[in-house]
Amino acid sequence: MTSHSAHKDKPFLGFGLGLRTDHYAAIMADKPPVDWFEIISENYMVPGGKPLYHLDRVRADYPLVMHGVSLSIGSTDPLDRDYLAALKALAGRIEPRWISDHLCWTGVNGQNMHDLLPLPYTEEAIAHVVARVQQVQEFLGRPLLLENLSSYITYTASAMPEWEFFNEICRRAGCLMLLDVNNIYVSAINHDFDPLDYLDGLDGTRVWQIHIAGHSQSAAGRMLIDTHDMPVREEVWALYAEALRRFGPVSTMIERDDNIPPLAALLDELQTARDTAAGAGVYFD
Amino acid sequence: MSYKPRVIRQRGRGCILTDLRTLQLRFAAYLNDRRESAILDDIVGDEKADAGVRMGIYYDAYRLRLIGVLQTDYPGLYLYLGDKAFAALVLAYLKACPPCSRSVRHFGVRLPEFIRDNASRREDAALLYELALFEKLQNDVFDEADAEPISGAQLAAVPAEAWGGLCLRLIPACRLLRLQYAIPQLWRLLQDKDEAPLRSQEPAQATDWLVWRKQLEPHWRALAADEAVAVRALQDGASFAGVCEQLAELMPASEVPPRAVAILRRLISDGLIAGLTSAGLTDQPG
Repeated sequence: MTSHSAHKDKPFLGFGLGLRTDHYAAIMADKPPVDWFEIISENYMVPGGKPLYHLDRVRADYPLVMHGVSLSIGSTDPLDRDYLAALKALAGRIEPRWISDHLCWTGVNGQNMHDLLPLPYTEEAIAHVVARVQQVQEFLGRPLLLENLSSYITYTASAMPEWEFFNEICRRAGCLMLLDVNNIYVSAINHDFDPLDYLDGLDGTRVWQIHIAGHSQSAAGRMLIDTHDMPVREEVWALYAEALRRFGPVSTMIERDDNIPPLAALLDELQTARDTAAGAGVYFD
Repeated sequence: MSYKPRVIRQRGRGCILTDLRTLQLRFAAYLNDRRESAILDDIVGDEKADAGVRMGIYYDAYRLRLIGVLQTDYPGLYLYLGDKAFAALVLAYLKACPPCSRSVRHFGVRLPEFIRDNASRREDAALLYELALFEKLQNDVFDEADAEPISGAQLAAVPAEAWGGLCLRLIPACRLLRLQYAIPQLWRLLQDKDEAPLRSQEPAQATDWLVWRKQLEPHWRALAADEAVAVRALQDGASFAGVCEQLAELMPASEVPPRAVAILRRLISDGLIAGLTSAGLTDQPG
């Protein structure tokens, strides 16, 4: 498999949330009006116990998508075959609608930094990542979604804007995009670009999923830090509306990774996402 | 690693660029040690923030994230040490044992041994080691493989003639450990934020403890000396007869069978036995 045409039939799952341990009990008890859940793949790549117990029960009631943090698709270390096998086994267990990870590297020389580290936007990096995405897609038997990062650095080597880099990798590898609108906003402030240029530059047919999240101001005050631990800010809601105007209906998720509030608070934010989509003139079936 | 940096001359730009592998090795070197600053030459600085400030965000985030991970994995140790000492411990551990697993959940698995081997300057080093080991074993059983425990009725159905060759399989999610300190009690006090008794911990007679998962949650209890011998024998694959042989070294022969059965019944009621096999029985998983 060297390319996929799946992006032509973009599915719309509706409005989802990240599955978090704090909410297991509320989800089981109340069956909240969430269209789907996204899991962090690595949290369930375990032999047994509570994580898989709850995962199976949530799966019985909701569609799931898998979102990884350790594929390290941009690393110059070899792909981790054991990791890929575990990822595929988990996908076989829960039959996710799709599998995503990040357009980044997380470690090198055998060390895992457990951070999403940016790549230089170069032809060398494109060729490197494309070849690896193709291997991963071949192994998984399905297209991969890649997510854009928040970043704090620009490499001197970078020769193109991030959106061109993102487009080119997806085009050549036949993969799809998970667009984190908050990350675009954070990077736009940190690197002084217009976030609308980012949206205008993307191949929207490949945007299958959107993340919305909150961020923080850095201690120094001039940089934004992607914390995913705050309510979504007005600027990000506005950018989300702009994304929908360009890309039409896209499966959308509130992603809270830390400082997890009660489920009801996230359901309120999810309603704001629905209202924002309606306000943007995007109608969902 | 014997890797020679390679340079790429990018067409039309006239500048020398660092290749991807070298860039990543330099980046990682900086995260490990800020004095390894070659990466700063590869980063654009501007009026908003220079290269050092920008890379510093990654440097700090790496440490803060892993400190946070171990706070979650070792909550008692964190409460015992407090913010400053716990952070210092994690940073020393990070330097000695950088993460190399795909799951951050595995980052802290060597922390107890690191404490044992490196904390000797502290008076409470032995206690810290046991506290960390106790929490590490809770983490181990939390997501260890599932196995349905057998019931007392299944044991009762074993015919008398089959007991001699009876083999009992412990669930995977159980661990045995020996503690000199009253660590489980200390752990509870820490969770309750009870400060007063924390500084008066003295080693006592060594006690064997069993840590296991029951109904999705870690449980633990102290074992009598003969129970520990029996559990250890089961871990080593001994049959019921083999367990009895080991118990016979601790008590008169006439006391062995009833005691062995009582130990076995307790293990079953605790959900610790996952299967029975015997020469005369087919395997009876729970």
